[in-house]
Amino acid sequence: MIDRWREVYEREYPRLLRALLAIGRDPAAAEDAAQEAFVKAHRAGLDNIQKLPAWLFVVGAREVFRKARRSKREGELWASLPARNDAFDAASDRADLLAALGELPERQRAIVVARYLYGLSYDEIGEQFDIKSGTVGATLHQAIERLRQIHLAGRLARGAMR
Amino acid sequence: MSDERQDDEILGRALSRAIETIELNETPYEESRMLTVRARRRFGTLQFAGLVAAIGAAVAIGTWLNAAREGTEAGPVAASPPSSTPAATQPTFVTAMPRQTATPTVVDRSKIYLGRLGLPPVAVSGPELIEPRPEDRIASRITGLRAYRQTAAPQGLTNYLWNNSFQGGVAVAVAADLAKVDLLLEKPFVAGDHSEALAILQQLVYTATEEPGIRRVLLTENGGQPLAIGDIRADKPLAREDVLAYSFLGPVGKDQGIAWAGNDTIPHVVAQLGFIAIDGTTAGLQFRGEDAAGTAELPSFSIELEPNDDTKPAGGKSALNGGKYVLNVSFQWNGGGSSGGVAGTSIFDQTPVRAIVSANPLYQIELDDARPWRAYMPDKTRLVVEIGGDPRATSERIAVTAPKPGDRTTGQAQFAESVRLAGGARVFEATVSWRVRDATGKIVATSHFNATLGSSSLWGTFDSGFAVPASVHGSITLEVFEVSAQDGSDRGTVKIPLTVP
Repeated sequence: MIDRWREVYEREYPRLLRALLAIGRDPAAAEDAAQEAFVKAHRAGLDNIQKLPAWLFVVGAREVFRKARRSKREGELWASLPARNDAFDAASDRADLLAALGELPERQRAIVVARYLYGLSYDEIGEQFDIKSGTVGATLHQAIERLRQIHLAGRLARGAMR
Repeated sequence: MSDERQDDEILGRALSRAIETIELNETPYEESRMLTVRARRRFGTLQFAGLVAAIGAAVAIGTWLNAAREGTEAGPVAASPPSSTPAATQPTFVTAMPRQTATPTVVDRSKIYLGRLGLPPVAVSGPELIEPRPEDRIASRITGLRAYRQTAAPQGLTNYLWNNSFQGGVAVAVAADLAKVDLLLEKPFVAGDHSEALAILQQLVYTATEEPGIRRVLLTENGGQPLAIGDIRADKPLAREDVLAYSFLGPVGKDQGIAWAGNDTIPHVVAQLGFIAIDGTTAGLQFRGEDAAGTAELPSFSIELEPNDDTKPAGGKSALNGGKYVLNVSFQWNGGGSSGGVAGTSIFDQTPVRAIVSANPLYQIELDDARPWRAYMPDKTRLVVEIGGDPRATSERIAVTAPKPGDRTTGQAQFAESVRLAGGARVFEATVSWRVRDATGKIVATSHFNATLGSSSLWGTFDSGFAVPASVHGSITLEVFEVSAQDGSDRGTVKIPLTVP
């Protein structure tokens, strides 16, 4: 049993931590939420969970947002995203995208990641994030559109900084 | 799938890839909370040491520009495609983040500088310094410059001393803030043209003055002869500011600073440093006003650039870490009790920013040199401080951020004002003028537009356009300037070389 958990942990933990870092921007909270999600999964039992990766993400995302609400000021959560040493453009473009994601409302952050990183269906997203079925597509499109605008503004400005 | 859905998919996938590249400090399975009963796990494994919580070093400084434009008529930024593309040679490199090393509490003193044509030099980590004497450390950095392989250089940077005439023999003497550096050369430095010669000189001057306490260097060759590099003779002591390619320098001193009267009626207003971008030429920082309820108008503030004694030891919340200059951004504190700000030091060590010491409401930005700086307020809640800029596109009145020198215009440049022209200005009645000259120097188009602010201590921004007649091809020069209110002459002109296909 332990070995199955090790396999699951080593496969899913990095992606989960990255996803939570992307939506929460607070490294300590992301690590905490990721660990908490695994603890909850462990309690529930591997065989009782369908689609474990998505399950972990949904539980972790809720945990991240719960902590964020408790935290006094958003300013304290402005955390940095890790730097990379590749060529500036590629790295900063990725960083721009992640920064843009951080500008979205929290539920939009979560559903964008749920959809594109975890491949949840509209129905699953609606169910997990309390969105009326039928409006998931529109909400998602709205979020992506906003992301696109923020990202583009960021790129223009970065271009302007060079 | 509709085009719209497909576009969404593309961006969604790009985002996923971005998430997958976030670097992690993973908690191994053996230490996962599932297996340990410890209530509280070690925290913050991903946190950057040395990065204070209040300094959220986000990665794009885009937001201010976005809102600045929303304030005008232009509508969503997404609707305005850039109408020029950077030339292939445009140097692009360097991240905008603090180093992710174990608790850096002091700046990296080993820095040596690589060159870029027409732009200020950029620091990279040099040899480990074990020498106790400053003379030996200076010699070690300069020989390190010779030994720094071009293949190791970040993209866009060139070590003009690699495989050049200097083979490593160097003698150094120090007197007060002056270093005398004599290079042993078998033959003169090889420099293709003036800009290459200047790049070599910049590398040497910046690297020699990296030593704390040293502000000037007298460069000689072969036992005291003035150093000759191409068409340049270094016959007097040189400070970093003497070799910077700007037509003017950042205003230094309290009386040269900016003082701004903000809204001091809001209690507990703090200024959070929110966004920062550093790219070797320019650093941009954004401050945002906050009160208990959230975003608030900024209080009064002042900004001043001053020389800094970089020999002071680091440590303690207000000790400066070793920039040659410090830009003090000081906000009025209007609340009672604690300012709510976090005191701390963030080491950046990325040209031109060495470190930021924050003890809200004072932020001290430690800089490598006194390159020009300016400040904008996109709205009453935000202050953007911009340090540097491309020297060819920066004057004391105008700072053009688009197009870039060397850009190739694309699309339909001949249509009225269809090539984007954006930046900042501090000009009479906010009127920014431009003209285009063809390769022979003849004026082929000219017009003007308004920036958001006129001649105030804060700069205004503009995001407009210029045009090139359809008959004009090849090399052109875009000149952006102020028409003097006194005599109608051009002032603060920047000349940006461009290509029209």
